[in-house]
Amino acid sequence: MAGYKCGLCKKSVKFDVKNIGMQCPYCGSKIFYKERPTVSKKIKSI
Amino acid sequence: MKVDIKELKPKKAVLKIEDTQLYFINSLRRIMLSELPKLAIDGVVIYDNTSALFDEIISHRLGLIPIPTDLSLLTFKDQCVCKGKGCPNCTVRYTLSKEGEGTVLSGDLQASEKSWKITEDKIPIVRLYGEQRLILEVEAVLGRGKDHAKWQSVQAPAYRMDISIEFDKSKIEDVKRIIKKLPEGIADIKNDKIVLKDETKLPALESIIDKEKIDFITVKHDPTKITFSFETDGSLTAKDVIVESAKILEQKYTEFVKQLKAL
Repeated sequence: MAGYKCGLCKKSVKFDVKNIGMQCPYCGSKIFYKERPTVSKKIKSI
Repeated sequence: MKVDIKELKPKKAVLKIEDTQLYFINSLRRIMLSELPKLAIDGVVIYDNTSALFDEIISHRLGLIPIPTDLSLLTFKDQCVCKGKGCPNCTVRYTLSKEGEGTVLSGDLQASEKSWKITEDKIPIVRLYGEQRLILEVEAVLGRGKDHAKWQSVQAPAYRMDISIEFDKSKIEDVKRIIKKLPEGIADIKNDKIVLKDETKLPALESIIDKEKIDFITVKHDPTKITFSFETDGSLTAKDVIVESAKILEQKYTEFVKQLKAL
């Protein structure tokens, strides 16, 4: 299950990536943004 | 060798060096660019970044922030007693946490100790809109300019030889005509020589000499009298830069002699 944020109502929703067609259960929008993982990210400054 | 300090500011120095050779000044210049150590942000741990910029762009910008460096307190991470794990002897840590409308500035980086506070605190990193936020932790380590430009504390180190502009005395009227062509007040005739009020304006005269193919004016350079100037990014003072660079150069010559003796 991957976490997404609805582009319209901004609520967090979870979908199984195997699903065909994604729709927000709250507002019905079909535009989603992938949420940033809660883990920290270590990068080198180059 | 005679060294005369023409200008010494925290971030700028102009030295007049006499009885020297070009190769020596050039060695010093190259040491400043590639061998002189300074602190710079190397590792970035990003906890949250909802700004418009990618993590990598932000970490790159953080790396270029000049951090005040005290070379007497720090060692290189790979030569430290902690064996590269990161300890107060080799690593300086900063945290940044900002949320909401506004610009994240270099001054928002909070040092683990007050003595490492960033002095160049008005450098913009990223603009945050609405409820965007940026939370991260960074570690700054010593490095050298030859490894990455972020570890280069000196900008534009340059030297200029003293000049003497002579001319054929029988063509004084032509010389006066040439001087009139130059921007007003930059050159004058004194004791059968052309004297420039500002030697950096020499290209203006040289371009006229080249264009009109003039052979009665000769520009002579003296390689034993040199004006050496440089600026720093604020991580080290101009005085520290020249003293530390001279020390590094001395160490290199000492090592070279040691190697030769072993032959």
